[in-house]
Amino acid sequence: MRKPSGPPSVLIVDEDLGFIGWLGELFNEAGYRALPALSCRQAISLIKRFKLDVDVLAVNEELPGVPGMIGMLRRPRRPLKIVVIRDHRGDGIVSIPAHATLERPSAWEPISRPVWLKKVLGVLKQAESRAAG
Amino acid sequence: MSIAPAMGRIEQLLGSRRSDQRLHRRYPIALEVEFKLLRKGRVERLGSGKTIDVSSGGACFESAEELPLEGLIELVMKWPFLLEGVCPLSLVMRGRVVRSDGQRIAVQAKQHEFRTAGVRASRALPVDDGGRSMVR
Repeated sequence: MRKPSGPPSVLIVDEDLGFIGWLGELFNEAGYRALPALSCRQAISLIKRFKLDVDVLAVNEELPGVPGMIGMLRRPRRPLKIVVIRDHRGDGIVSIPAHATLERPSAWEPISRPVWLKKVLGVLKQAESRAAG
Repeated sequence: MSIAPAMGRIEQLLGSRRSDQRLHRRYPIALEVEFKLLRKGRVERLGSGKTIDVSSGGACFESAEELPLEGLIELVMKWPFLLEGVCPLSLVMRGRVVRSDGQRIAVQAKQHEFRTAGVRASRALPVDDGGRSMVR
């Protein structure tokens, strides 16, 4: 793995292009370098090709290939923080080991940047503390 | 006569509509965009602008130019970060112009993908010079 330098990185893996872009901007405002992928296959291709050193993985748990991708991203010293992206109609059961969850907005929910930035910062803080514990 | 089957059908329709709306929800994202208007496989016009919103189903952007409705278009949106600090990443979307209203242009996507667009710090990483899809 490449030696970490600069801001921490977050790999966002989701099929919803708009949501990836939206989260990317918010993680950027939160001081993270956001890297996007539309599938686990794409993400694995990026990880292999660029030897990505990822601090936070934000992933839609319903995508195929999530456990394998998590296995590739785990590092011995620094724990990988995992944020699960869920549908707002989800049943509350998370199928992968997650440190925090982030609910996608419903189609009718108005989205405001300050509110969502606060939400993202809260999720990052929760993931950090759970991963450390 | 029971109305349950009809209600079930309505719920099914609403469910699929909700699902479509969720997939195509538009998010307000401002990315630099370059576009190519295509005609018969050739580039007819080049331009640039900034996105207003983006979804899986398309994008809306601001540009100084007005574009023809139904025109085939390729958008290249610049992701604000370099991969590992060296390699630019772009979101490439191909589709049709569905609205061109003054300076606002709406595009319905037929295809989209992230692409690495070459290496700035040359020879830093073994990647191609030309743009390529991230999926191999």
